Amino acid sequence: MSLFGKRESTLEMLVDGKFVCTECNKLLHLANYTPLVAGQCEHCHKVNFIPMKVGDFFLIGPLGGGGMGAVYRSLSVNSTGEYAVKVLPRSGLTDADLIGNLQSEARVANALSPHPCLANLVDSGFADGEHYMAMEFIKGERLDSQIERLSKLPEFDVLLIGLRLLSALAHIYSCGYLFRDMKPQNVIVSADAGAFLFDFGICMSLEDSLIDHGDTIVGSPIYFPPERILGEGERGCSEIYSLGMVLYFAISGSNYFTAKEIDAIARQHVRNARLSTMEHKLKDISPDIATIIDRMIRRPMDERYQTFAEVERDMTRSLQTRLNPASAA
Amino acid sequence: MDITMDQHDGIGLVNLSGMLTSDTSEFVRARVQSWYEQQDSPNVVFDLSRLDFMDSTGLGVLMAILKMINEKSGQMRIASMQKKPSTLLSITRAYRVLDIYDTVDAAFASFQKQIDETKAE
Repeated sequence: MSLFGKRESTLEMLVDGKFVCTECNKLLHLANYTPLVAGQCEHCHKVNFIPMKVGDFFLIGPLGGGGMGAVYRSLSVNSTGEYAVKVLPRSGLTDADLIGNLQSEARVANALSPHPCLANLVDSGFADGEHYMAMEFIKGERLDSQIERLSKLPEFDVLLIGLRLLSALAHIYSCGYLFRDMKPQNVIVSADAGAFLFDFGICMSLEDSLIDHGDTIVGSPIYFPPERILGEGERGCSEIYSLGMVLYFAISGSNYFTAKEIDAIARQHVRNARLSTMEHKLKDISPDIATIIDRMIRRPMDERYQTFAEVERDMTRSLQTRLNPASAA
Repeated sequence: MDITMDQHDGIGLVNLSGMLTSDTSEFVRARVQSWYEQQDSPNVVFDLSRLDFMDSTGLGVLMAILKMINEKSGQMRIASMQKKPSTLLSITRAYRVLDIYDTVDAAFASFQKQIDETKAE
């Protein structure tokens, strides 16, 4: 029986402190294993992921993560469905900074939930010796994986994804925050073509985002706005810039900046006159979408779209043109 | 943007008309919040039959109101949407978190059905 198979019986066994080897189907006792790592079945020696209980959740498989925390696919004893539960890395369970970051992320996620284009917070706190935050588990594919698999996405899909992410960013902004980590790796595209933002780890309040944070630059340099490098403070149009970079990647299949070195990317970011303009990098994209993306990723902040509503208006128009060409006139 | 708020059969009814955008969202949020805090019943129907347009910030306001209502163990129903706001809800897959009904009557009936079922138990 697969651990991800029959939910009820899996959960029942976990509550009893047991799980099933994926190879020999024999019952194993959680107490005999170190949780959240690969453990060998005592009968057949097959390597299994060892589940762990945190509060009302059983963490049953890894989803991703890094130095700040790891996210696991999880079941809840109180409700059906699956969840994504983030806990601290095993090496940092008592690290005050990591604990603070996780708590802060949970607070922000709570302030932003619910929204149809976010992985919403379900629960957070401290239980069974673990700080944790539980979010909706979105079944789907990460946007970067989807683009890699398909080479690039159709323009219509990119407009839809763009409008959904824009909706999430506008909501985050209206709640008093900037997301600050817009990148394909933080977007899940679901089977029904929904787009969901997750990972609020470097979200910042609007007040704090206006401050120069000195040498501390976090985020993905391919997507974050040039003002972050220059310490100019960030605004709503900074989020629009990052979304523009993501949409460019989705529609063209390659990043706007191709330099592999972060320093080189940084230099390209802050160059006042961009070498490649619409005639080059945007030439294979339909003119209406190219114009939108170009205005989203302008280097000077005041040359970009200033509000989410402006981008939404133009994207919606492009979408409607494709849905009903007669409306173009 | 105009808002009227009322109560029918123990269920709140909010009528929004005009444009729900970044220009009007704070006004709507504040008005609905101050009204809701004085209500006895936690459940509310939003009649959007006269809402001509809603952008993403407007949708965010609906989400904030939904959260406020859920925190008081209430439920929120959206009813009678026009085509333009409805398109935004379709694009964003908002039906994932919002309960949307074709008519105000249908939304009220769903609450009544819930009440009847609870009594029957």
